[in-house]
Amino acid sequence: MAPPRGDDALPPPWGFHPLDEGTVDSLRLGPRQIWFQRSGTEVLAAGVDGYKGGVDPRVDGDVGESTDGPPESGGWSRWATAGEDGEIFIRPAFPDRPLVLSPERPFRLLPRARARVFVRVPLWIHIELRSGRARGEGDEERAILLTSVPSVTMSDTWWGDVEEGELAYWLPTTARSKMAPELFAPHLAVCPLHLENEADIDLEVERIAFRVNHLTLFAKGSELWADESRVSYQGDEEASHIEMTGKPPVEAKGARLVAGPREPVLRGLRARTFARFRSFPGLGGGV
Amino acid sequence: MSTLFQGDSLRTIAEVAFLVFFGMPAIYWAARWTRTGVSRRYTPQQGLVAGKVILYPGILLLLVTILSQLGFTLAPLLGAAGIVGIAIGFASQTSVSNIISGFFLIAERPFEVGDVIQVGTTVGRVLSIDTLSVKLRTFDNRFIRIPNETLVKSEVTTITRFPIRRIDLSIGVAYKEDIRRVRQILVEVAAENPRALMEPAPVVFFDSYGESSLDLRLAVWATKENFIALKTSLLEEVKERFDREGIEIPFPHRSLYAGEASAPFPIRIVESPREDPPNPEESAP
Repeated sequence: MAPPRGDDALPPPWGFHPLDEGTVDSLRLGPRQIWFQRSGTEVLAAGVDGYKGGVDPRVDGDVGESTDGPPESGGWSRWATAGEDGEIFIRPAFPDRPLVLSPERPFRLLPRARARVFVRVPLWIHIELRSGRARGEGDEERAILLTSVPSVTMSDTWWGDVEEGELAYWLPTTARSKMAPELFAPHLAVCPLHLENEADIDLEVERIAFRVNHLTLFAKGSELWADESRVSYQGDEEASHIEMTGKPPVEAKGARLVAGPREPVLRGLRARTFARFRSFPGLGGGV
Repeated sequence: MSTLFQGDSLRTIAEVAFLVFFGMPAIYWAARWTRTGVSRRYTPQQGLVAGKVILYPGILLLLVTILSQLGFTLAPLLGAAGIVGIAIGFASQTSVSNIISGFFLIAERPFEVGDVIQVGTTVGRVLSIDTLSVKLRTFDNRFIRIPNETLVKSEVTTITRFPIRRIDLSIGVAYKEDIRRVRQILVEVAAENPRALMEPAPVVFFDSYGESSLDLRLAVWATKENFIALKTSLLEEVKERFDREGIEIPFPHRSLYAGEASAPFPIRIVESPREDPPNPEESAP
């Protein structure tokens, strides 16, 4: 079996993986392990969350040819395809909903103060079938999205009140102010978040709605980065000014574009971003 | 009617034909256009009502115009209509009440098409809100028609009104268990289930000292779409976790005391009179 080829910009195990008849191939991204194989014109894929499915959540990477296949909890999904050619392409993407960040140590932003923190966001894994590539340079490459799974299963949470709001994923974060090389992992994108308090009152940062579906993904070597998000609080709890730069952050100068935003980059977006944790007796905690 | 057979009768017939062949389609087109436009901008239900508001008065107006063209005098007709109206009104009180109730339902909007509602013991998804009744489809696929008047008079619960709902699970544990530990485990079970919302946060209430158990209540929030799935999975996960942690979910049991709780239950052994074994010699032939 040929070793998996990396895409020009994507660090492995992202990118192309051969799809050989009768061979089960596997890769692991964070706690998620994925298996895929071809059987004639059919493509089969299976995935398991290592924290639940009996697979040790070890380091990310190519597992290579798998002899045992997925455990019982990860049943195969099947797709009938038009032909017997094509390769699997593993593409990273940001989560499909906003994240509610919960800093392990909430902090207070004084009037006119700024803070720049880094948040590590678990990526979603898009499994695509790409064909046309093998037939020569002149052929147009066709990409079909087979399925999409999160590398880390995040809990649901609600951003808003009990009558109105939006569904989001819950992400506890250390919101560190410096990044160290050992904090990078293939299934995590590092997102710089620039917070600014333009109001005359203190801003308690206990919950942050992070609209990751507008972020762009870049790769520099084995590191995955998002463009910088700038959030400025102007005293109105219901709306803060949000801007995504759309360019690699200063820490990743020269990084290459890997994936565009799920929804186009917004400039001048105003949305509720900060919330203080409040507890409602009889209702449970809430924001 | 005599005008029909006079010199300009052909012109009258042409005018009436024009009104019928162009007026009716025009009214239907206007009603449909209004319905589509309002549905797009507001809700399908409001579109339906707006369409009817155009359609029925439009047809009435067209009818009056045609009768007028044909030479009917409307005053006696309207007088007769008044008398007939009173008679019909008495005969169709229920229907009229339902029609008026229908307008109240549309104006007040306690629910919309697609909502899940509960009326008495009936739970179902609203298929339509019509002039006389509301149609529901229950979850075991039965069709139920509820008169509008009944809905206006009854308590109606709109289950899917808000985007999130709270699940309350009653859980009893044995009196020997440490409540703090049980509370911690229940919160962990909820936090580990990705469908359970992290905020509003899960809460455990200590409800009461039950007959056989300490009664706790685990309150967890979920989106309305995940309500049933989360409730089922949480019940399973609580049982699995309790089994793993050795926490007892007691069966209902009852203690019997004779006189006072602290004294042991008195037991008296009553001996039966001893029977001598038969003498083999006496029984020999």
